[in-house]
Amino acid sequence: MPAVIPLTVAPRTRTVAVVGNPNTGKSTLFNALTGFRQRVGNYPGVTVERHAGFLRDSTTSVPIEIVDLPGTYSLSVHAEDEAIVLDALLGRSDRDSDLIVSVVDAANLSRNLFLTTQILELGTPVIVALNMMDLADRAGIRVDCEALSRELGVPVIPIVANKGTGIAELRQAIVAGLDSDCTHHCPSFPECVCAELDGLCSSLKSAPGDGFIPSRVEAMQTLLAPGGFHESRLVKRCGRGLAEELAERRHRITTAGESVVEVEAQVRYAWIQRVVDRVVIHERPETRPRTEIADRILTHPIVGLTVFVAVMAVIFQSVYALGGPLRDFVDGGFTAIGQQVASWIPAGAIRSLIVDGVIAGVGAVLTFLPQILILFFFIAILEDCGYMARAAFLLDRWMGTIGLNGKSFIPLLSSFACAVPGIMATRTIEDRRDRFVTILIAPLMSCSARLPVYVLLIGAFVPATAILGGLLSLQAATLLAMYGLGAIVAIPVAIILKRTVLKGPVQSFLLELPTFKWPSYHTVFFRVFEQGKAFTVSAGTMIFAVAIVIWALGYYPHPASIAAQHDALRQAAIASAVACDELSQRLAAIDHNEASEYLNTSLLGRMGRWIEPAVKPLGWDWRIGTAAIASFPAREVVVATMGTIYGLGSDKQAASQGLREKMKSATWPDGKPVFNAAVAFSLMVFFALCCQCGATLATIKRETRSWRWPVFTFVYMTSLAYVGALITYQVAIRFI
Amino acid sequence: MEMINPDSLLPVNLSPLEPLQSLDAGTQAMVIEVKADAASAKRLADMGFVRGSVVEMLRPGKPCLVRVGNSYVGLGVGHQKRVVVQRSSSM
Repeated sequence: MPAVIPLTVAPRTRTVAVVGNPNTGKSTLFNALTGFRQRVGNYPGVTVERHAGFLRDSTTSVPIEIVDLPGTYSLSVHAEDEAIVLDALLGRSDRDSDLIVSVVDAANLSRNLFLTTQILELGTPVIVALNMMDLADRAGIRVDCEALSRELGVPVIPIVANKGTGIAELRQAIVAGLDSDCTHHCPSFPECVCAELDGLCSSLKSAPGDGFIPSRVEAMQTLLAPGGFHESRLVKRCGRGLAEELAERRHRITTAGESVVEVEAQVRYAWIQRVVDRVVIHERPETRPRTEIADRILTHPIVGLTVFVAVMAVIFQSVYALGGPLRDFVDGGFTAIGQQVASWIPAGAIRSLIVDGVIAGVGAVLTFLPQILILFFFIAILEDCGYMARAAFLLDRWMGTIGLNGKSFIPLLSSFACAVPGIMATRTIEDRRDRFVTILIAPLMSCSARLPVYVLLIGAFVPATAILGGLLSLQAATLLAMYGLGAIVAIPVAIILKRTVLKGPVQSFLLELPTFKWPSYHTVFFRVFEQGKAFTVSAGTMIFAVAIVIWALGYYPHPASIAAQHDALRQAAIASAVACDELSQRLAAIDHNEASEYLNTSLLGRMGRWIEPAVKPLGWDWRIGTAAIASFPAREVVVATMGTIYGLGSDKQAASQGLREKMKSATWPDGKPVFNAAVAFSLMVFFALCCQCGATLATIKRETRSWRWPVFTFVYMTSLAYVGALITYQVAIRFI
Repeated sequence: MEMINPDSLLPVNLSPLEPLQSLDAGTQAMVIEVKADAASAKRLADMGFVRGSVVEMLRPGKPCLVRVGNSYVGLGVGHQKRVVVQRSSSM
């Protein structure tokens, strides 16, 4: 008799989608459910990041994947990122959801339940996570969760995501809810709307097409949003006949006395109002919430703007004041490692590769990690506490003067950390032309990869004099000015674009200002960690590779004749038997000369001299020119490249110095120092304005779906950078 | 969100219809109509501006800051012009 073989079938992964309005603490909840073991991928075809992770401390052996969807107010689609939510919920772009967790802000129940009522119609089990119960409590709002659960027909779990309250209960409810039946209660629509909706659904099912059957929710959003996203998508699939059918159906709804555009909101809000009346108890007479009091100051056109400028100043001062010592520490660490490693390996190509190429190159970039993390830290805090929306509100009138509205401000501010997420954040801008203008000027914002260049050059060539009565150092002020430069140049660029290729009227501003809250440590920490990891990985791969290529180009062919020639000189110096001091000086000069000779005869040296005529008007020598060109794929490479070039070109004595010292001691062939303040400024201006980032160009291509715009961006920014650096140098050399 | 059934109010108490734009700081009013193109109207409705919802002007201007229910929304002039409201002294 054959033994019974136990069947071990791998349990099917179940998928749980987390949805909710923007600023409801959705991502904080997601972090609490999954811990920090999450994966960030992309949805197919679009660049929206797909955040997914497995449910932590699950009570079942079945793996449960949690997917965090972008925040949205409604399933009707106005902007690109909202299309992703509905597609993911319907299993179009993602695995079918087995369960939906709808995150609802308890203090703002009606508005949040709007999306929930739409989700209840999808036919997937739903759990409502009632978040920020503490804030609601403080505002005197008490929500009866059991009553709400009865009204909606779904489990309602009270939580405080940023404190971890209620997360265990929610986890249990998720596991229990996976295979539950749908017993949802939904608002019912007027008969004329239901009839037209049924008619549309059946004609869509029989429509010729590629087997794509729209859901009832989509049909409703098509019918009730004339000219909207779903209509154009379905008309593209089913043909013009559908457009005519929709017009007829809408006409019949209007004749029956309902407004096509408003009926959905009216029906849902009326239904929600009845629910809210039954489940919410206002305990105290309403006092002015703290947010409102804070906004009296923070959104004030003059006081608020002053606060905004002060906040920005504090950030930049901190990047310098806190980051500086950390940077020196890391810098010192890499120099020590380099020396230590150099003493282990015999002189030759290998030692040069490791010490001058890898350690000097990658080390030069990692030195700036502390400052980049500090910048990301502040941006994450501003976003998480709700201040970012206030900044957009304050700057709306200023953005209006360049033809954009305040919404463009948030992507632009994010671009100060990195243009790639900044460009992706433009998806919330509804108007296509405004979105494109924002995308095209986003790379002008001084991203964190430019920071190393500024920090290096400012540290070396700008004195640390205190200005403004000791409030700011001249170095921090210069850094602020470099950050301001790109933003200022962006103004005429945006105006020109808005009047020529992307001509259009100024779009009116519409943005929710979320209730202020303490930033969640988890969210802030996780964002800083993710960005820091991305930077380190790029330093470890891309920059590492470029550093090695640059090293090889600068090391080879390494002719033996130079060694022979300099050995002869050394012998002669020793034989001349001069005083000990003078001899060591002479030997050092010979070493230095030898290193320079090697670099001059190298492939890199030859290439550099070929481009020197083009960069000389900017005050650069061939080494700077080479570094600038090598950094076109990724600008953070420049520091590594300079580290490598100056590492190769230095003698043994200088090997113990940091890059800053090496740069200060670099000379032209006639002995004049290469670097002075004018050169430093010209180089900084070039980096501030130039589009040296392959990732940004690739993102622009994906987001605009055309090669035209990345090419345009590259050409206009590179021209601006060259002209800007030229003017800076030519002016500065006369005045400094 | 506070909502009022607009049809339940006696005509005597009613002030004239006016755009949101003309409210002073601290004034409450009820939304009567959103006169915008389909996309803007839908977007405003999603954020809580529907017939019967109560709004309070917190900071008039370009853009203005309005409380609608328990949320705060900044609206540019283009949107302010299109939201038709009615003040009521009883609110």
